[in-house]
Amino acid sequence: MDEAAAHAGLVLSQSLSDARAICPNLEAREIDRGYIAQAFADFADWHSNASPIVSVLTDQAEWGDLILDITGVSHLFGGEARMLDRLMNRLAGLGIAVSGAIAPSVGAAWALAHFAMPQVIEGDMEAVLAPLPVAGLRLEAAQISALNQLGLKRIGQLFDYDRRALQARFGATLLLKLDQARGFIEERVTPRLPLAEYYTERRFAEPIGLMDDVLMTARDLSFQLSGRLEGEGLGAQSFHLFLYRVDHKVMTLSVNASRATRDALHITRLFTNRAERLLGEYDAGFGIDMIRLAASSVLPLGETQIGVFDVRDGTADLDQLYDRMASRLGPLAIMRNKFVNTHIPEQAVKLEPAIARTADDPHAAPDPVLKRPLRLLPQPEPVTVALAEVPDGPPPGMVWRRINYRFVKASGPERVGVEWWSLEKPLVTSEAPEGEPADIAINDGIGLTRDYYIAEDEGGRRFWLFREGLYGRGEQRWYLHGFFA
Amino acid sequence: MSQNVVSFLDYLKPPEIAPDTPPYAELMTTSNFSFLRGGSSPEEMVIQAAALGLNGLGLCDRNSFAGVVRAHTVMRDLKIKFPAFRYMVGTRLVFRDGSPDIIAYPTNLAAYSNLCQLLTAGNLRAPKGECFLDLSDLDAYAEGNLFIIDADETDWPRADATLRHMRSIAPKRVWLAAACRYHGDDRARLNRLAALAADVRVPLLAVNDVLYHEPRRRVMQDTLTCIREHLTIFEAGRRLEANAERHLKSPEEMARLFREHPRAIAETQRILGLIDFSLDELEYNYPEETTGNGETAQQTLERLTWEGAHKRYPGGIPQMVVDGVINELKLIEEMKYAAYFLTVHDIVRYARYECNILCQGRGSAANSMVCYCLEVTEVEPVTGNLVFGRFLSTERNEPPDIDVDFEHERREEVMQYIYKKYGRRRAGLTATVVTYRSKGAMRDVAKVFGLSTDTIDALNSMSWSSYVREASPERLSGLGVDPNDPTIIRVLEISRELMGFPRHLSQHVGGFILTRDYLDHLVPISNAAMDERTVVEWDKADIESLKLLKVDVLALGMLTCVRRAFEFMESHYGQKLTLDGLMREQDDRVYKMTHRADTIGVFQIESRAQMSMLPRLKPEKFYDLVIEVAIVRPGPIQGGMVHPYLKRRLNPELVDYPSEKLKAVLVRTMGVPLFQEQAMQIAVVGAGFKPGEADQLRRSMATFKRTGGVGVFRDKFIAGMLGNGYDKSFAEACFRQIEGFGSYGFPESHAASFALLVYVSCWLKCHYPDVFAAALLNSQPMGFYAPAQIVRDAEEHGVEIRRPDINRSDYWNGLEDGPHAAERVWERHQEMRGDIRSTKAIRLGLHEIKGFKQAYADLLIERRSAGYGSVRDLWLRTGLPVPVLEVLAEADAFGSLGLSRREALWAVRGLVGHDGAETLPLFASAGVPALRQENDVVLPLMPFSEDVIHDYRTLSFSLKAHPLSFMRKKLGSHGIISAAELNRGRDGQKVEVAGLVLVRQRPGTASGIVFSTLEDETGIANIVIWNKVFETHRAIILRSRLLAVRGRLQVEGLVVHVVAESFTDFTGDLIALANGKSIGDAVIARGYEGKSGPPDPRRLAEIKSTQDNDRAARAALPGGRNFH
Repeated sequence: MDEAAAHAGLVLSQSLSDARAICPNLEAREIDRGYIAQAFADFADWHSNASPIVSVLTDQAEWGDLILDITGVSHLFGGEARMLDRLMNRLAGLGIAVSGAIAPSVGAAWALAHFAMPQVIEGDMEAVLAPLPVAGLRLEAAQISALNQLGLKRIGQLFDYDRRALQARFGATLLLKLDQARGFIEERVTPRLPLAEYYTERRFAEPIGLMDDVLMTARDLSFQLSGRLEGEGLGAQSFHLFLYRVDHKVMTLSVNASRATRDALHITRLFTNRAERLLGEYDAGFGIDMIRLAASSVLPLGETQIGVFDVRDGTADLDQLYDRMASRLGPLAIMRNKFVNTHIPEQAVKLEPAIARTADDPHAAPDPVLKRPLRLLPQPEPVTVALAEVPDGPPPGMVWRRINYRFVKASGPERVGVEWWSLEKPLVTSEAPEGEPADIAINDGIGLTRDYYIAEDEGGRRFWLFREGLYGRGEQRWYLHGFFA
Repeated sequence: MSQNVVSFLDYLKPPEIAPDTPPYAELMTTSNFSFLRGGSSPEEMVIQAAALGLNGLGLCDRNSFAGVVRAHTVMRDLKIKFPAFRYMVGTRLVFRDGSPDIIAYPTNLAAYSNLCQLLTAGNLRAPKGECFLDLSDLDAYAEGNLFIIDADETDWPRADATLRHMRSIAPKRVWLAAACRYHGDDRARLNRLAALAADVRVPLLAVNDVLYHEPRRRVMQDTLTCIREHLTIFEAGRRLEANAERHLKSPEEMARLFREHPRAIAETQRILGLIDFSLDELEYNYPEETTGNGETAQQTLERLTWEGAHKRYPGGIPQMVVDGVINELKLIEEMKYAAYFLTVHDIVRYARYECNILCQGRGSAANSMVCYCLEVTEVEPVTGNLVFGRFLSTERNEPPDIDVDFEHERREEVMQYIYKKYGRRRAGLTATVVTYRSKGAMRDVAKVFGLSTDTIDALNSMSWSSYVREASPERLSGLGVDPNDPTIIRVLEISRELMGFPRHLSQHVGGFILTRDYLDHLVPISNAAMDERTVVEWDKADIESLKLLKVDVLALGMLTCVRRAFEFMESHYGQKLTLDGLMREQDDRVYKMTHRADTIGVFQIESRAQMSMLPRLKPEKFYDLVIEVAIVRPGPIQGGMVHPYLKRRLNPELVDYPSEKLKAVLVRTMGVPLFQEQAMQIAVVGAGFKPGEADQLRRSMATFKRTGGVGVFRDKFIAGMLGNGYDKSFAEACFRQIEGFGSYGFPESHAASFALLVYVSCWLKCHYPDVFAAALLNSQPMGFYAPAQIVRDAEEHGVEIRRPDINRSDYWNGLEDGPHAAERVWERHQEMRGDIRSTKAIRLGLHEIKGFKQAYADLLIERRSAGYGSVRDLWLRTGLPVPVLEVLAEADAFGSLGLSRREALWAVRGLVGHDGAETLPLFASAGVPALRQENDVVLPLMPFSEDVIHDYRTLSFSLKAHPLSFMRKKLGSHGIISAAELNRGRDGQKVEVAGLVLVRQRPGTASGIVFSTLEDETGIANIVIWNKVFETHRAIILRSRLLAVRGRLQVEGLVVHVVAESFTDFTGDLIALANGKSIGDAVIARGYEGKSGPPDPRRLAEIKSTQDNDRAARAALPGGRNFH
């Protein structure tokens, strides 16, 4: 929620319709949670450059508050004040709203960052904390409202009360948080990257820039990582290559395998294939001073499966092929068929990327009662049919591509209505004009129904053709749609 | 439903059918009473079948007879034009054991009873709304029924087995259904079915397995399928029908489809020939109400009536009454309704004398001399100008109609008495068909189309008081919805169509149907949502249509209030009051009070519209109240009857009658028709309708919403009136009024009974405002006003109100000795000084505290003895959980201990944890609480304004101050005046007034005008918002808690309105003040505004924390009740 929105009179947790009532030309889009979470995680990770211990506190904010343990690193920035300034300015420079503080305790830093000016404090935290609202103590909403009800609105007010009285009324966590903020109790932060064992990295004394160097490093890192994974009997489905540029940007290259793997050569190949496609976008800027290879979607992978990836075996794994083809040609190059749950024949099957396979809809499997031809024309082709019996008799013959076919057998019709909900035209559900057949809307107002026939000609060829439109209700046209044999 | 039943019938003509076409009747139909399956109503099915030239239609919904009466009713009208058309009652039996569905048609009454019993058995073993049947259940009830098997084509062996089984239990009465499915293999399928039928030796029957009456309804049926299966239309795929073929088809078309199986068509006619059953045959026996002393019901009734008459008229029964009673008794004997009157009498007797429950009858039959003598009603038909000509219409042969209202909290006792007296198998509640209303329809359809919850909310907010059909493009775009979006258009279109579709059956609030024989032989019975209740499948209209007798046992909150008031009067003032006694008194001062529209809280005449009518109508006698109750209703308002009536009241010389004939009808209302009965009589007397037609007209009015209009009747009515020499404008006005009654009819007979309660509640309010307010508060929620206004109104009338307290309050509000209210009456009610006799103060009960349960209160009161000495004492003696004590503390209920809200809260919160040992049983049983005194703490003082807001939060009102009193200075600086000052303004003056929004009301009739009521510390301001102004400012009007309105003053006698022009929302200022912003809060750092660009997060944190407080405070303030 930004100031423009606040100015327009919007408030948080308002329903969209209320907000719209206040601000009619409000443009609403759903928040891309995945994207923001990812972006936030990226920021957090990137700050691992500034300090080895980066942690995200998630108990208060939706996406988290970033905590850096700067013990022993501030001198690299020329002191704490300058460090705070630099980190904040850089984020602000990216257009991100940022607020921060440096304090001896996590609690005090949090309170200052949220309710005061950016500052570095060292000594007397009580004096600094006293005027801040109790919400600065990272309390639960119930605790805050209980304190407010009793008129205890500032942190300083709490210092005067008997600790036991406070504990009895607001729970031990209040004292804990209070003590943590004042630095009486040390608070541990959990570093954000708990899966540290699943990445390997290399730092460069001199920044590198060439793609080949990057890939070479990737190969080395792949072997290191593969060894680690093997040692623990694990494999992974996704691998990410983080390129830390000296100008504080991180480029990420990710590849996915369709099943868990730890084959270093395979991983390297996937990165190589991927890099080929990325060449145009690759920009090392002023150089890359660190590369990290990380594995995610880590799964147990037994010893025996190692053989599966042995290409010389001759039993080429289809999945591995998909991976490689997809990483080289792009995921849309390798497709497979998928059934779709619809009555419309030409839409009943669609293609989807082989590596991004989705679950099959159990209702989509073809109905055995409905006969479908072996081959479907890409487009139904108009044919001429003379003298079919009204209203729904089968065609006696047809002219297709100027050749005359005479049918000796036919069955049908199979009647398929149009998917009225996907039409652009509005419905005509209400009153039909007087005197007209009541169902005129189905054909002319909503869309044309098809009658499908299976017809066999003298030569034993079986065709699938349909008439669009019902007799007695406007025009009908015949089309050939497919062949059975 | 777009199909207008009546007008459709009018242009419906028997179709021309080629002479050699074999006749056909459709025997497999699913209407929308197979909930969320069928796409058309039973009425539409029957009409369409007749129009297509079918010679019969059987309705068979899933395990139910719920829709059969509707089709039957329409058939009566249809009979005239289509004498040869047959309608058959049937049901589709759906089994839980996987057997194929079987359609059953009873051939006679006994067979129908069998099916009712079968379905009852299935219903009673299933949860509400379901029916569990197994094929084996059928064995016992197969007698006399015809069975059509709907074979499942994926399981031929099972179909074969079922057919053979059915043939064995019902030889020669089994058919195999065959329908064309258009799956491309129909010819093969029909042949295969024919082969199966031949093999088992049962005939093949042609059907079309109809789901809707015409193909356009495919859209509706697809939508219903999606709603049922919780799918969006986009993912439903093949779970929908592939085409629109499951509609009713003409005989020619069916003959063509079954040209290779002509026998299958002919079989439909054979079935028609076998069925000899119509719902008209239902033999219905009302329970005999004999007392066992050898008297017949009629004799008992006569005896009781005369006994009652002597009691009513101790000084001798007037001749007029004697004549009336004799006439009525004769009529009752003729119509054989004696037992029915005795039932009502017995129920009333039980309630009144055995349970001491206040009750009162109403309805056309209730306002008879007989009912008055039987003490069913308290309004004497002869006095107060009530002349009820015929209380039963012999021509219409309509069952008598008596509704009995009981105290709303005690009605269940009466209902259980009825069940006990007649037994479960003889008494059942009527059903209510819950139909789709605009919001529900919109929500469900929108979900099917995958609209987001926000869009659905936006669309629904549109129908704040109106139907979807009014959705204008401007309105939609105002809500941020694109009116040209095809999906939106579709959603609106379909939801409009869906409105009125039945969704499920529910139980009627209190309509009982009683029989002498078993009820389950008459209609299937099922379990109700509540234990101990059973429900039949038919609703009020169905039962009326079949002429079954029904007793309505209804609940009325005002009766509860009056009973409580009577109890207070007896216990605190030593007066024993009765409805009848007060009614006889007829106190002038009570009527005088209504002239000032001082009617907050009284029955019926408390709404804004009523209150603005009162000073103009100036009721002076009882009949005026009857008119007052009935006049502010859609009927008279839409018919434009209100102003002519008012004019004639002011100047009786204006009274004239359209004709001598109509004078008899209209004399009571000065020549202006105001009541439903009068409208009907005008149709008969003025427009020459036959009583049967008037009945049809009345029915079409009742279903006005469902069928969309009464066009045919309109022409006939106007033509009839003109033909009899009446003015065209008068005729049109009368008809408009009839249409108005369609949406909410109000008959004189109901108005009279209501008027009695109006009078009684006014009497109480006039003389004992303390008693009235306490009783009214104890009966909440009811009526128009929130407790805050009732409390305030009592205060204005001089009653002292005392806050809930742990040592003083009971659970309910009670009375304590207090000051003479008459001496404390506020300036604006000075006139009442002589009338008010109150000498008590109201002690608010613990139940006024939000979230405080009665069980806790009972415990607290039980252990209180001499009172609690401290919070700890209360805790130890009651063992109430600490969160409960917190509720009490937050409600400031520890005043008698000298604890402020914060002090009490501090003490309560300290109870747990640090002295936990005290809660051990050891200490509790020893009874010696180990006291360990905690040092007294000094808590920050709560600002007065915050205190008041907390009152609102916990009690929904404050006795300390009005929130606006803190704002007065600021409002004054804006030039905003107080509500009291409004009364000194002159007409047309520009004013601005502010207050808490109490009510926003948009009466259905007032052409979209919104009435709003604002409250400030000096009184109430009435705001009128024209539709156009409302639309422009709707957001602010609907959102604000504290609203300032600028507009023009409109003064009409005592009634002062502000006609609104513009609005300002002051809610934020009020909340800021209430949060104690200026009093000791930390000054939160503002800004870090070094650079432009992204906003400062600290500012956001501040906004957020303020907003949290604001939300809490905002939630505490009344949101204003919306009425329409």
